[in-house]
Amino acid sequence: MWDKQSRFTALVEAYSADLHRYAQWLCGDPEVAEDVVQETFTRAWKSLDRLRDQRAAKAWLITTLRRENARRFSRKQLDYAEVPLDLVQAVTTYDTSSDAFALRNALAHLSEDYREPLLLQVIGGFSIDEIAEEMEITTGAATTRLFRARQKMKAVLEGDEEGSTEVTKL
Amino acid sequence: MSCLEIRRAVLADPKRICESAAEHLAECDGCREYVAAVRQANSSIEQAIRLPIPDGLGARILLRRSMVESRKKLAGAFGLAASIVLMFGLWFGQPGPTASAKTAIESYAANLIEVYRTTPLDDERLDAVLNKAGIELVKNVGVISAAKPCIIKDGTAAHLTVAGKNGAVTVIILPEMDVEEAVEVKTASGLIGKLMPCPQGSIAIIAAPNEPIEDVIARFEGAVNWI
Repeated sequence: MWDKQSRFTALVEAYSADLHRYAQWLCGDPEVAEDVVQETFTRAWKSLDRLRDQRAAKAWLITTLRRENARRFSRKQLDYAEVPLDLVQAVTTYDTSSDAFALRNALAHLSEDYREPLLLQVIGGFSIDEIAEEMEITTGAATTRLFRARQKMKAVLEGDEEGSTEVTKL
Repeated sequence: MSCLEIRRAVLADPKRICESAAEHLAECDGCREYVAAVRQANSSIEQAIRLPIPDGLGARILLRRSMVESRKKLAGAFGLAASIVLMFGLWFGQPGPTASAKTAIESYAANLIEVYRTTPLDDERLDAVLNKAGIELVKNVGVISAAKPCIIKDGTAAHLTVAGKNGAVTVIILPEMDVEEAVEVKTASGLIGKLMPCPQGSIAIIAAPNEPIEDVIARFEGAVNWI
């Protein structure tokens, strides 16, 4: 049986990178994202004894991170801003392929309602049912949002600008 | 499943294909090609989403944890010294954490006026307040008619108004304010109550003297989950 510190270290090593990526898309700023991830793990440490199933750890951490991010916004009373273009431009330093840039740009400009289910699925590994539960929407709505988000991204890859502008908030 | 249904399903989740879709794919060249194209696009999306991670992120998280632990150990090593300091503090009238928390609660509730209502607050508002304090309610605690976030001793707390037997009862959940033992509280306006330790932080239940607060205490026992 692992002690608490070993379990915590394993969680950090396994999931901190994905949590940071998820937080970057939520916050739009790598430094703020790191603060949110630090706070997430601080809360995770306090509640670690309640995590019975290690297989649920990633989803549990992402749920904690989403709450931590929401708390940050409510404390600072800031508006929920779109992901700034700075983020999109900053990351071109590691991958300059035009497809990757276009996709990140498209993702940054997706409505929050569409972007977040996609991030939960791709980064968090959530199923559609889990996304619906996490976002407190119906399974049908989660399916539609994912379908439309991916439809837009696919259109961007195929150079279909008209298709890429079809996604609007439900 | 029809071709349209398959294509919609695969766009929603390219990695999970249900049995009936798999049967359709075995017989439909068009859909197989479509699924292959979506999966290829999805692979590009996954790559694009993978933003770079700052160097040493995991190490910094673990360092912060170990610093907190070190401070605790240091505190343990100097426990005796701290006890002496505390004794001196008490000798000179300095309050300990429980006394200090009691004073903070009594001060916060000094001019408290609660309106007795039996209409429950809407869930969205309640969740927002609880979320701000980093807590959730995991069982029914009866009618909560009002809720607001508050700051007590620099910590965020949730101030709830619940319906008691004779009138309104104030419940303040303080995840960031620790107390060592349950203490009675009494406000300048004559309200009375209890401040009690919780698995994380404390909870204060305050009402008019004629209100049996033990009922409310029982309702909140095991009802708070710290997130």
